Amino acid sequence: MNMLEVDRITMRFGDLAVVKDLSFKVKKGEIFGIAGPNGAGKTTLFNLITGFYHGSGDITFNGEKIDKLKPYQSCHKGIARTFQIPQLFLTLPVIENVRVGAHFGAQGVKNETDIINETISFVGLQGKESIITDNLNLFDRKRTELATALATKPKLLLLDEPIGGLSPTETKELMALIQTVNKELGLTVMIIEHLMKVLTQLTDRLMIMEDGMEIAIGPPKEVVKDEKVIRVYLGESKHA
Amino acid sequence: MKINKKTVLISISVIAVLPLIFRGNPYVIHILTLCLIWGVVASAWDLIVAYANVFSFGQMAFFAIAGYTSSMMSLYWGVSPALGILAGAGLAALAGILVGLPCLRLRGMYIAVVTLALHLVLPTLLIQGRIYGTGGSRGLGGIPPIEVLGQPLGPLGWYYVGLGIFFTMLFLTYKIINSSTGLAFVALRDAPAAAGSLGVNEYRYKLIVFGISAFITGVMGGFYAHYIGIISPAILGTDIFLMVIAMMLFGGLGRFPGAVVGAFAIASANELLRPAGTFRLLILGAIIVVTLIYMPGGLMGIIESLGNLINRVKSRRLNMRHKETT
Amino acid sequence: MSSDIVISLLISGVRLSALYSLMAIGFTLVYGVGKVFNYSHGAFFTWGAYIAWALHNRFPDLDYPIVFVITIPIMFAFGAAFDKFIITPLRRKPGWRFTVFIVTLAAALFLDSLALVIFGPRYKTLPPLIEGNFNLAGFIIPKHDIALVIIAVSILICLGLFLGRTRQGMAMRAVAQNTVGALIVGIPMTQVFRYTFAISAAFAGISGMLLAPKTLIFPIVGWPILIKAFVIVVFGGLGSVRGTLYAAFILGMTEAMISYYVGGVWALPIFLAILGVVLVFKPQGLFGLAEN
Repeated sequence: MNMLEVDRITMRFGDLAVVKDLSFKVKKGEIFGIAGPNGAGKTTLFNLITGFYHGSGDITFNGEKIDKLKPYQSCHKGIARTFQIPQLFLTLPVIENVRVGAHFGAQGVKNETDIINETISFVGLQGKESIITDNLNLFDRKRTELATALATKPKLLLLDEPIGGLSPTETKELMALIQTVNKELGLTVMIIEHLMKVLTQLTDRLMIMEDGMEIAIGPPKEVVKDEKVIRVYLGESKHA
Repeated sequence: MKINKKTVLISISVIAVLPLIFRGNPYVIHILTLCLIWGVVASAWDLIVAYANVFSFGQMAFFAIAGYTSSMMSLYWGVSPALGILAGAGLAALAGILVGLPCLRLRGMYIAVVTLALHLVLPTLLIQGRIYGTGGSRGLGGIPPIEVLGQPLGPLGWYYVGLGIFFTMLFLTYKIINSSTGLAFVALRDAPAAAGSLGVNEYRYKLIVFGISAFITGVMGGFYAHYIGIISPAILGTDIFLMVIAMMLFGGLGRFPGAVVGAFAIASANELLRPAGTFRLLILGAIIVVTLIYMPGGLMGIIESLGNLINRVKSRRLNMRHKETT
Repeated sequence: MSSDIVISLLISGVRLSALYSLMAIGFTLVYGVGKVFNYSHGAFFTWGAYIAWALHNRFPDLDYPIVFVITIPIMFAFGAAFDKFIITPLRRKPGWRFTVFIVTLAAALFLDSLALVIFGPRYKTLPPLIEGNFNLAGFIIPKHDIALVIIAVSILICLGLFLGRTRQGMAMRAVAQNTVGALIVGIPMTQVFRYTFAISAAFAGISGMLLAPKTLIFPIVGWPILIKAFVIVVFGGLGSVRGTLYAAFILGMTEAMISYYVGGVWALPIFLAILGVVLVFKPQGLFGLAEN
C-alpha cells in the first residue's frame, strides 16, 4: 500500500528547474531515505509535498491529491515535518511548543494535555517542559521539534537532515528514536540525510537525487553499489 | 504582545481615581473620557497591526460605520443607545470580516492600500449618502445620549460608563492574547514556516482578530457618537487618523498597555495644544516622525529599558555587597 | 455614441493619462527601486504647485514658464533631502518597510499642515503655461493641455532613454531587479535610492504645476491624485514601468468617461472599487513583477 505517490512533479524558479519530472512511491510503514549532492532538490521536494511550494505534476497521499494544499492543510491530512535548522518558537518553553502541534495540528482530539505529556516523554524530554527553547542545546532542540511534529498525530513524517551537528552518541540516540517512531508508532518516515552510514542502517529503501532527478532507487545496499551513485559521490568528493 | 503587569496595575488605579480628583472640572473629565475612547481605539489598532501583523488602516472606518449606524438607529428608529452601540459594533465587525475575507489573503502592503482606500472613500460615500439619512457633509446632530433611570449622564457618569466599557474591551483584548488565538500569533511570529506546517491557519486567525478589533473599535465609535452627540465625515479626517497612529507609536507598538498610555499622553497634549491652531497637526506629524526614528519602542520601550537598567543596577549592587562580605 | 463625444472623451482622456502617468511612474520608480511605499508622493505634488505659486507671487516679473523650469530642480533637491533625512536613517533598522510606510504617511500629513500654516487655507491659482486655446476642427483645446501632454511625453521618453542608456539609469534598473546582486557588483545603493527619490519628487512637482491651473491649489489637493496614482500603479503592476504606462492610459480614459457620464466626484470611489477588484483577482496587476 502506498502512503505517498509522487507523479512527474516539476518545480521551477523562473528559468531554473529545481525538480525535474520526478516520480517515486513511498510504501506505508517504511523508512524511505533521500540523499544526493547539495542543490539536488531534496528540500524542495519536501516543500512540494508539504505545500510550501506548488509545482506541476501530481502528489497523492493516502489516495488523496494534495499538490494544491497549503502547509496547514497538509498537516491536517497527516503529514508532519522537521526542518534542516530546527524551527522552534524560541520565546516559548518546550511544553508550549508541543502544545502548538497538539492544538493546531492534531484534529479533533479531546485529551490535548495527555498527548503533549506523552510526546514529551516519548522523545525523552520529561523534566525539561518549562525550559524556554532558546536555552536548549542542539540535541534537545531537535527533540523538541520532533515532539512538536509528533503531537500533530501524523501518518507521515518528513525529516530534513536531522543528524546534522550532533555528536556520535546523540546521533545513535536520535537514530534509535526514529526507529521507535517507525516501529512503535507506525509512522511512515521519509528522511533526507548526507551520511551514508546512517541511511544504510536506518532506511528500508533509498532514493538518490541529482540535479532535480532521481538517479537510483531501491534497498540501500544495492543503491550504494550503483555506478551512477558512485560517480555522483566520488565526483562530489573530488570538488569537496 | 508583551504585557507589563506592573504598569497595567498602576494605570488601572490611576484611571479609576483620576476623575474624582478633578470632580469640579467637567472639562478635564471630558478630556479623560476622550482618553478612554481613544485608548481603546488605539489598543484595538495595535492588536491588529503589531500583534496580528496586519497592516490595516481601516480602523477609523469601522469606528465611523458603527458611530453612524448607532446614531441613525437612535435618531430614526428610536433604538436605545445601548442597543444601538451593540448593533453598530456588530455591523462594524461584519464590515471587518467582509473586508478581511479578500484582503487578508494579500501581502502586507496591499492590505494597507486597500484599507486606507476604504478610509479615504468612506467620507465620499457618507456625503453622497445624504438621501439615506447620513446627514451629508454636515453629518448628524442631536444624537440621543445614554440615559440612566430616565436622566442623561453627567460628566462623571459618562466617564464611569466609558470606564466600564474600557475595561470590558481591554479584558476582551487580554482574553484574545491569552487564548489559543494568542498562541497562534506567537507561533506565527517566532517561526512562521513551522507554524504553518504544524497546522496553524494564519488566514483564519487574522480574520478572527480583524473582526474582533473592528467590533471593539465599533463599540467605542458608537459610544463616541452618543457621548459627543454629533458625528460627521470629519471623524475620518487626517487629523484624527494621525492622532490615533501617534498614540499607538508614541505609547509603543505591541507593548500593552502602550497604546492606552500613548492615548492619554497624546489626547492631553492635543487639548493643551489647541490654542496653537494649525500648528497642532504639524507637531503631531513631527512627533510621529521623531518617535519612529529615535524612539522606536515608544514610551513603553523607554519604561522597559529603564526597568532593565534598574534591575542591572540592583544586581550589581547585590554582587558588590556579596564581594564585600566574602 | 457620436464621434464628437468620442473625440472629446479621447482628448480629456489623453490629458488625464499624461498627467497620471507622470505621477504614477514617479511612484513606481521609488517602489521598484527603493522598495518604499511613498505616501508623501501626493505632498510633493502639492508642494510643487505651492513652490511655483510662491515664486510666481514673489517675482511677478518672471515669465511663468521660467518659474516652471526653476521649480523643477527645487523639487529634485526636496526629494533628495527627504530621502537623506527621513528615509535613509530608517532603512538601517529592522522592519523598515513598515516604519518607512508610516513615516511617509506622517510626513505627508506634516507637509500638508505645513502648507496650511505657511500658505493659509485659501485656494491659490496658478496661470496656465501657455494662455489661450487651440481650435482643432471644431474642438477647443487649451494650449496648456497640449503643452502638458507634450511635456509629459517628452519626460517619459527622456526617462526611457535615461534608464536604458545611462549608467545611473541602468544602476536603477539593476537595483530594482536584484538588490543583493547590485550590491555585489558595487552599485552605490544609497546614491541610487537618493536620486530615484529625487526624480520621483520632481515628477510629482511637475504634475502639480501642470494640473494646478485647472484645479487650484489647496493643502490636500495631492491626495486624490496620489490615490489615483496608487490604483494605476497596482493595476499596472507594482514596480513595472511598462505596466504603469498602460494602466495610466486605461484609467485616464476611464476617468474621462466617468466625468462625462456620472460626474467627476465618482472617479475616486470607482477607482478604488477597481483597486479592490484587481487586488482580489489579480494582485500582481497587468505586468506585476513577482515579489518575495
